[in-house]
Amino acid sequence: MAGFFEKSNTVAKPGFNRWMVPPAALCIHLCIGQVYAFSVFKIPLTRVVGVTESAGADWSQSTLAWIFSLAIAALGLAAAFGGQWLERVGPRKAMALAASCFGGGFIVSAFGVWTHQIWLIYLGYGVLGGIGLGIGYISPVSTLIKWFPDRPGLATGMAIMGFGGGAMIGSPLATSLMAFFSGPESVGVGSTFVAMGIIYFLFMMVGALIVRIPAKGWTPEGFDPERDGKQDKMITNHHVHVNQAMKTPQFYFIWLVLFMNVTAGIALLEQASPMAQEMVGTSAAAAAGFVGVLSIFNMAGRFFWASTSDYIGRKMTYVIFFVLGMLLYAAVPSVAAGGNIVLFVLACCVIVSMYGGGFATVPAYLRDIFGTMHVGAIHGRLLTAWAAAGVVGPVLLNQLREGRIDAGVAPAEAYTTTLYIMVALLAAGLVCNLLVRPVADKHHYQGDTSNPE
Amino acid sequence: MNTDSTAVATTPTWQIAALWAMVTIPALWGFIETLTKALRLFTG
Repeated sequence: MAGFFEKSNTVAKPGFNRWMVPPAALCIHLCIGQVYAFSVFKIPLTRVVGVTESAGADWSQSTLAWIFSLAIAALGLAAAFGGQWLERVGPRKAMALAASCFGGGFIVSAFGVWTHQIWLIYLGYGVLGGIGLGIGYISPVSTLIKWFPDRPGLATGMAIMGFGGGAMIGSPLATSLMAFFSGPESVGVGSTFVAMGIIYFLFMMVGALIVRIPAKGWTPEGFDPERDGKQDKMITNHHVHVNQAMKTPQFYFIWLVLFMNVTAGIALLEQASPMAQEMVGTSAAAAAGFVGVLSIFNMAGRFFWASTSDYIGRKMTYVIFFVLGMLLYAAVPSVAAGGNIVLFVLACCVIVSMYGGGFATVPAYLRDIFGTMHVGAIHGRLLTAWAAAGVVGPVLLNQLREGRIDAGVAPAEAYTTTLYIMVALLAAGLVCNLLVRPVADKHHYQGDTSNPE
Repeated sequence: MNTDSTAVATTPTWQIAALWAMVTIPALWGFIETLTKALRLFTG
C-alpha cells in the first residue's frame, strides 16, 4: 500500500487526461478553504457547558481566537518547510498527509470539545489542521503547473479559487450539521467536528488517489516550450533550486509584491463591515451582506485574474492590481463622502477581486521566473508573505484608525488616512513588481531536473 | 511525447464528468447559499 503513494507510482500512463487533475486539486482546496469559515463555531464553542448561554466554565472568545491564529501560523510554517519534502515525495503522499492532518485535526478537536480541554482543540484544529492546510495548499499547485505549461494561470486559478470557495461550503455545512446534532444538552459541535473530519478526509483522499504527475518530457498538444520561451523573456525554460531561489533578488521582490497586495486587501476585508456602516451608513445586516458579496468577488477574482494573466503576462497583471488598486483606494473616501453606495460597493468588490487574484497568479509568476522544478517549494516559502501580511494589514488599519479617532477625527473620516497609506503601500508594491527581471544564468540548476538533489 | 491527443479516447469521459460534478455540485451549493444570504441581508 505504501508503494501506491510513492511518487514513481503517480506518473501518468499514456492516455491520461490532464483535465482529471484540476478537480483532484479542487478536492483539496475546497476542503481546506473551510478555515475561513471557522468563525461559525465561535459562538457555539462559548456555550459547550451552558448550551443555551455561556456558563462560567465556558471558553471565552479570546481563548478561542487562538485556534484560528495557531492554524494560520502552522499553515505558514508547514508550507515554508514542507515544500521541499513535497517536491521529493510527490503530490499523492503530500495530499494524503494533508487529508490525514486536516481530517484528523477535526477528530482530535471533537475529543477536546467532549472533554472540555482547550489544548486538544489547539493541537487538533490549530496545529494538526494547520499542517494539513499548509501542505494541502501547496500540494496540487506545482502538479497543475506541470500539467498546464500552456495555461499555468488558468490551472492554479481554478485550484486557488477553490480555497476561496471552501468557506462558502464550510459555513452552511457546519451550520446544518450543528442544527442536526444539537439538542437540549448539547450544542452539537463535537459531533459536527467528527462528521466534518470524516467528510473532509474522504473528499481530500479522492483528490490524492486521482492526482498524477506527467511523464518526463510530456507536453500538451501544440505547446513548444522553446518557442514560447523565446517569445517572452519573462518566461524561463530553465529551473532554479529552491535554496538557490532564496539567494535571488527576484524571490524577495515577488515576496514584497505579494505582501503589499495582501496587506492592502486584507486591511479592507477585515474592516469591510464597519467601513460600510460608518462611511456610507448601511445597517449592520446590510454590512454583513456586503461582506458576503465581497467573499464572492474574492473567489471569482482568483479565477478571472489568474487566467487573464496567461494572456497579458504576470508582470502586467500585477501592474493592473497596483495601479487600479491605487486609483480605487484613493477614490473610496470621496465616493463614500458623496454617499454613492453603488460605487462604494463596486470599488470594494474590484479591490477584493485583485486581492484574491494576487494569491492565484503568484504560483504562475514563480513558475515563469524560477521554472517548474521546485515551484511548489518556492511557493511554500513565499507564503510567509501571506502570514506576515495577515498580521500587519489588520493591525496597521486598526492602529491608524484608532489614532485618528483619538485625535478627534470623526469615525467615518478616520478611514481616509488609512486608505491613503494603502495607496502608498500599493505604490511600493508596483516598484517591486517593476524591478522583477529574469533570473541570472548563474542561478539555473545544472543537474538532472527530474531528480534534483 | 504527446499524450494529449489520445487522452480523450483512453480516459473515459464519464470519469472526467463525474469528478467535475463531485467538486462542482458542493461548490455551487455553497455559492448559491452565500449569494442568497448576502443579497437578502444587503437588500434588507
